[in-house]
Amino acid sequence: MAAYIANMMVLLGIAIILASSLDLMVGYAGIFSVAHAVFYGVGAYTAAHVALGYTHSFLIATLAAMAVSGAVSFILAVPVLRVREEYFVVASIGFQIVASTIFTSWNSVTGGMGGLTGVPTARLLGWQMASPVDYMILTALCVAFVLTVIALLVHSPFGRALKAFRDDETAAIALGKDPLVLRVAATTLSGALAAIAGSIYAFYIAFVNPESFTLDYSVLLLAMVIIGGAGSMAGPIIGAVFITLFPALLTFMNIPSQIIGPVQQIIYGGAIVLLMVFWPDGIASVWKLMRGRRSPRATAAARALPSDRAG
Amino acid sequence: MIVLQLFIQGLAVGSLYALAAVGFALIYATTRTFHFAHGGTMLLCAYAFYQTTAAWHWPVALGLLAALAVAVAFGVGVDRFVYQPMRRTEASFLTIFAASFGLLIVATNVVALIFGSSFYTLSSPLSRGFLLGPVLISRANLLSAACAIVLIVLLQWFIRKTRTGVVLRAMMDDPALVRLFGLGDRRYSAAAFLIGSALMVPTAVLMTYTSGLQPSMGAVITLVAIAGAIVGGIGNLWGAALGGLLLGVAENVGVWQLSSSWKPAITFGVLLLFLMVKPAGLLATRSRRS
Repeated sequence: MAAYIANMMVLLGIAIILASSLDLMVGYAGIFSVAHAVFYGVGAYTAAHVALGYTHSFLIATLAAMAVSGAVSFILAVPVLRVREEYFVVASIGFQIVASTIFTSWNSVTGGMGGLTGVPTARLLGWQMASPVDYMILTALCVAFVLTVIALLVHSPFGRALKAFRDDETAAIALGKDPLVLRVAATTLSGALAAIAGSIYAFYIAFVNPESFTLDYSVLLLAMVIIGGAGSMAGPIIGAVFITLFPALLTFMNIPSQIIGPVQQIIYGGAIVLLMVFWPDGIASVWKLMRGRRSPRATAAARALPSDRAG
Repeated sequence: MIVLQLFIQGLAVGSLYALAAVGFALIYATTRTFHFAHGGTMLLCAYAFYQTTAAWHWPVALGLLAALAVAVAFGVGVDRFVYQPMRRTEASFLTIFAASFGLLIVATNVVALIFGSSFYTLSSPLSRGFLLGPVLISRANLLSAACAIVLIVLLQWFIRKTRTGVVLRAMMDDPALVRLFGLGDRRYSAAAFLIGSALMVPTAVLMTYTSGLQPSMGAVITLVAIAGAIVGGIGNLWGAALGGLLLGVAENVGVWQLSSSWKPAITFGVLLLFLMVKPAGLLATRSRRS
């Protein structure tokens, strides 16, 4: 039972890291990306290569993963972020599809469909991981690190400038900020942070293959951010908890296993539609409302009006 | 000669993509709704056709009517109950996109729940054809091209010569103008969704015959439609048609050198290339107020 819970906690931690780093783009920089699983995947493959070829050190493998993944997201961001937001959404889907094809086809580097197997267990500063509980502790440390970085970023001048662009691009440009530089920086950071989750995954599961980094998973990550509430610290965490633990709940409800997948997806999709129509700021805003802060409608309207560049 | 055969195949598939792209472009240009669930229309329509003709043995004409009814009901219904309320509260692009995205997930999985995720095909005399020199041209190829040409020309006539069409064209140029004249965008956005969704019927039905059906096709068609509209130059209906055609050709001719698992990657290679080199698209319309 301890192993079962620890396993679930590791997977939940990975989801929290991914959703929170994605929210840096979606919620703060105003960039909708459906390619986050790519950065997760690049991180996992890089960490696996480092672990298989050079060292068991989690720290070194993770730093390498962050560097490579950050570089890949930088390469995506520079040409594509110059175009309009609706184009970026589509370009990111395209990028995810191209990347999935590369993951499955570039046999010499990714191992093709079979993937990379036999990743050794991780070592962190002399601490040799052995059980799921060890990995649960490691994951918790990583989650704390990622959330701290994001919290610091969001409240730094960098984070405030990002939010200024999201809310009113014209005014921010008038103040002398360069949107391209800020957005590229946010995308690169987001990719690098996602690689941490990839590194944990590679060491914990001990093998990496393309099935973990598909378009479907990118969609699920975006769903976590939207359902929880973009642009808040709590939102992506709530979304990640909801979407990770929900399937476990369904298995207790005696739903036939062959229809469980579609039923889950219908519930997620339906939740997104209903939330967007009635509560565009996600579940996190409900909690804010109960604490008597700004009403979600007002927040949504304030965000929608200036950034509504249609027409 | 294999290249020529692939090129013909590409033109046929591209014609069907063109219809999807034109529908998306029409909806987007008139209502500014990024209708990501457009592929959901195709999916529901195709499965409706399959269910009525293959399982219930209705005549093809009735099956087509059922497919049309389902497509239009989904498109117009979604506009009425999801997009219009959101547009009234001035929801941002990303909010509408997310909702549309959710709709596609729901449509895909409702189909998966009812029909399972296995592959369905329909047999028909459409695959037979004739040899023109060294290449085989099937009836499905001809029918695809004919549907695309007739419907796109008809649409061009419609938006130029009818009253509703002229209003739609005005909305493409400036939605604020339409509201100013007191027309109200409800009826006309319903018209845009009706036409855009109806254009999906030939794509859905002919793809059911030629490439078979699977729930994941909805997402593929959405992406192809949007990519075609962007490559063509968003807001330009001729451009969208050309963009769809180009993607179909690129995808099929690409198979000459690459394995067919690269098909979707080719589509998006073309898209990414355009975004970097010519983001305004093939037929860039005059710049709008932004």
